[in-house]
Amino acid sequence: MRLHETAHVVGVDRLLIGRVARTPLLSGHHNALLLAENGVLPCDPSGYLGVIALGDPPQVSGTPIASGLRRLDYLDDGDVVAIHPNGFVHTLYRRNSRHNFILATERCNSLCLMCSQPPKEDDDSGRLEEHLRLVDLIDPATEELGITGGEPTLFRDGFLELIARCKRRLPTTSLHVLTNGRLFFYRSFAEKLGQIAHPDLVLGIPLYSDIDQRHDYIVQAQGAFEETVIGLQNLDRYDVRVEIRVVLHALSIPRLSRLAAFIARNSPFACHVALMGLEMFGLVHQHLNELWIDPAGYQQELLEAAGILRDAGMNVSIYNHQLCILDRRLWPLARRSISDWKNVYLPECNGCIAMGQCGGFFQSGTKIRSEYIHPLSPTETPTS
Amino acid sequence: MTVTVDLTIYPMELVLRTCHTFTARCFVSPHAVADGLLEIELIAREERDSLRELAGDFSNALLDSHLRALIAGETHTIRELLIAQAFCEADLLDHRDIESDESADPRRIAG
Amino acid sequence: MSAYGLLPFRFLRFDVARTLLVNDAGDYQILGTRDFEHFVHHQLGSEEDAYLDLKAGHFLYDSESLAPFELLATKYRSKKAFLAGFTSLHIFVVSLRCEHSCHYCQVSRVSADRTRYDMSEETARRALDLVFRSPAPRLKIELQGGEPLLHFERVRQIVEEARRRATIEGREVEFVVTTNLALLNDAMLSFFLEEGVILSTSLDGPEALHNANRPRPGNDSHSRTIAGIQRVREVLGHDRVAALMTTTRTSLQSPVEIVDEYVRLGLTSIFLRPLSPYGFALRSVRTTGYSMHEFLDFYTRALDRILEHNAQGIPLVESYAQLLLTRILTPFATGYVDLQSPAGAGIGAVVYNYDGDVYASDEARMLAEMGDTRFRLGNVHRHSYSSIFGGDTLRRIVAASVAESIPGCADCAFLPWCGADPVHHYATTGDVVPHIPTSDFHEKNFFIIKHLLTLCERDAITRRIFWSWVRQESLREEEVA
Repeated sequence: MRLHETAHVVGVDRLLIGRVARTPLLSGHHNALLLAENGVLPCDPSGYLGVIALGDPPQVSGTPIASGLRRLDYLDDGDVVAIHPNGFVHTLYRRNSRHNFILATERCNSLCLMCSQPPKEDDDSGRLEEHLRLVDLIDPATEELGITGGEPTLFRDGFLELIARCKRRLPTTSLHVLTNGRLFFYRSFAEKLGQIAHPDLVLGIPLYSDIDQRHDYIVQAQGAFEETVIGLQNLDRYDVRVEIRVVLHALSIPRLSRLAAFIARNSPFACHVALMGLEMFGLVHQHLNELWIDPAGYQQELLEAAGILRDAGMNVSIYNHQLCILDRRLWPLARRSISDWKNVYLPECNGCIAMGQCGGFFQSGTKIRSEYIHPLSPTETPTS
Repeated sequence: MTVTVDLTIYPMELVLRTCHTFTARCFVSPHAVADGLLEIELIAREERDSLRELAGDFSNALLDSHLRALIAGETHTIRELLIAQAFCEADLLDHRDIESDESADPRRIAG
Repeated sequence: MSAYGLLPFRFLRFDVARTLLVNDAGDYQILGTRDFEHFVHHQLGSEEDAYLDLKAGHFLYDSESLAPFELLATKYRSKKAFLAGFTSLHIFVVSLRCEHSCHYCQVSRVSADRTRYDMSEETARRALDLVFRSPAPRLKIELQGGEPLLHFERVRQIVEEARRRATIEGREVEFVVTTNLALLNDAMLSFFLEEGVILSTSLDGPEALHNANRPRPGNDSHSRTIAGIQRVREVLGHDRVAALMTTTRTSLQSPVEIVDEYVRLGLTSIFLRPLSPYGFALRSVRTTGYSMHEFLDFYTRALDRILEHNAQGIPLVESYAQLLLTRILTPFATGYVDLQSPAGAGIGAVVYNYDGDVYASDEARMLAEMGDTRFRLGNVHRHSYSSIFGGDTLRRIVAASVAESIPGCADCAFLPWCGADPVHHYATTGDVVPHIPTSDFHEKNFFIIKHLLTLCERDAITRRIFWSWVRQESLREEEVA
């Protein structure tokens, strides 16, 4: 599924962000983009923010239009789309999806060796306004919304404004923010976030080692461990829920159980710990020798670490691991974590009895992956 | 059974502390002998006690007491700071940075 | 060899090859003794596993990073968090009357027809005034005696009034009634159900043993206790009644039988308690007396039996071990008034006697019954909250109970997990400050902590069982042998 495409635009002199209307609206036209198919408009487009045309454009005058789109044919009422003056059309939000997220910025203050969203130093000062507008347009019935990057907190006050806007416009939407948490080293930043008192907010914060230099090396930022760990304390002090995420690779596996003990002892307030398989996309390819380890080869370490966390009563999930290479005893912790538009299976998977439960692979993860992928037969699956 | 302690190696306070910990197992009676030497008499509480073992344990305990004093000496300032920090919230450690904010960003966390 | 500084910790020679280190937050590590010697003399290399573990475990630091200090300060504060609520446990002795004549009873008992040993309505009301002056966010009110059900109207009054006041003030309050269950009737049960009261009773073991320890007219204490437990379960719920046992000389021979009796009755916790040297127990020391060493042998065998049951999937927890393990294995606070530093006497728990006298602990009340009133804090009819809880008597007790400054405790590796009990030491030796080498309080706690650590190190199954106790959950399916 493609989320963006280049269109032929007429009359688009500024960025337009609007709700898709396949069905004519009774009100709110000024925020809506009327959807036309094969030259046919569902109604008179005057008053609408603009027109999106799948295929050939219909006749319009006076209303901005983006036409010639082929790949975005899934667009439906309530989805939110951005049309740029240069013709770039981007789906920002799909009402039918369970995996909507706001890419807050592509700037980042870390440079993780395995970064799957390599940072760009673009000027993103205008983006905050776009995100606020997007939040205003998202259906309040949306159950979950993610905020990712880059590093979202780099907007500082702007980040706080975004969270507050979500609380106001989307009061029942669970918010999951991916952040390195480093700026929460400053206690007042954590305090201000706590004061917003968002009803259902979790910050997902990575921690890759119990040893400062090793974590700092993995994220390529000196002082990051200190900032993250103190950030976690500060967030807990102001009742902001945190989740700790650990990406599993050759640098984090050796002391994984020690990291688990560190988390249980120093961050027992974390509402969840996610142990995540390596995503083979982005900077990881520049550091393959240092990072790659066959997941089938670290099941002992994973068992021990998960055991330590669970003994301490913490919630643990394992993401991005195929069931055939995961130790049986860890299956209850495995989640289907790959977004619905990202996951695939391999030819090797044919006939596997557990395919319905297994999350499969990232599209990017099919070339470099475990040697031990194999279809499971009924005798190999634990009885439920 | 007597243990002789060289007070130039082990300060008096340390020796007496060690004596104290042995008072359950035996009777302990220190006497000064020559300058800088202390003789400690270990008297069995019950007949079957092995005094040789007690004397050996006593010497080991002296070493451990010495180690404890060493560790306490190295760490007592930090200990006091930590306890005060735990309860007072005062800026006892160098907290100028943590008390700053994300706009000032003195550590340049945001790069 | 690398430049690093030591963070505060204490140590113990754990066995011939290993040394135990415990830092001020109660985090521990066990090191090979050679690694320990290198560590202390700043000779450990920065890439060695021992070095990395000690650094992550907050026993050494090697940079300007604030992280170890911030984390240690937070953990230390967490451990002492029990102080924040001040007095949260309030014990009401509603009557001294009892129809049992237990040999070890700490209460000066009087036979069932002497009503002048009952708490009056006015005394209860004034005591409740003091209860609600406490800043504790969660209050626990324990009603005991004698046998509190002999004066049920007082129990009813206290629970109803406390509930009413708690609702008005928006505070949480829990109720526990300590009773032998022999006099339980339907009216009482429906009251307890309505008010969410939990019951605590004594079960010393199988029938013969229990009845020998706890005589009553008809010599049927055991069957009445069991019947009471069943009735409470039927009406209030399975886990609304807990049992504890008291160890007498007779009990010492039967650790397995006592544990099995608890299992037979489906009880999920057992508290293995030694005798206290107060009240009637002192007079019967020759018949019920035994050394702490003998108790600890009993405790060890009982705990082994409990662990055997747990390994078979039976979730029986030993309460004292559970408390200590929570301290050892987790960073969380556990307020247990008899074993904390500073001690919980007065500042964690307080006792309101039937006559309105206020005591720092049950032991303090017992001393007064025997003629020594030095630990009486005041009287609800005559003294204010500030003179009772802020007066000299309480301050003296608290000052003597900071283990961090008691000789023998100050250097002890187990200090962060242990505590002080000045009233107990005064009652047994005449001095609030203990002589640790000969103290039975020290002997008990030192032995049990060391024993639990040894068991933790021994095998993974025992560790898993202990963790399930700490989490207060049954073993997960995949963990059962």
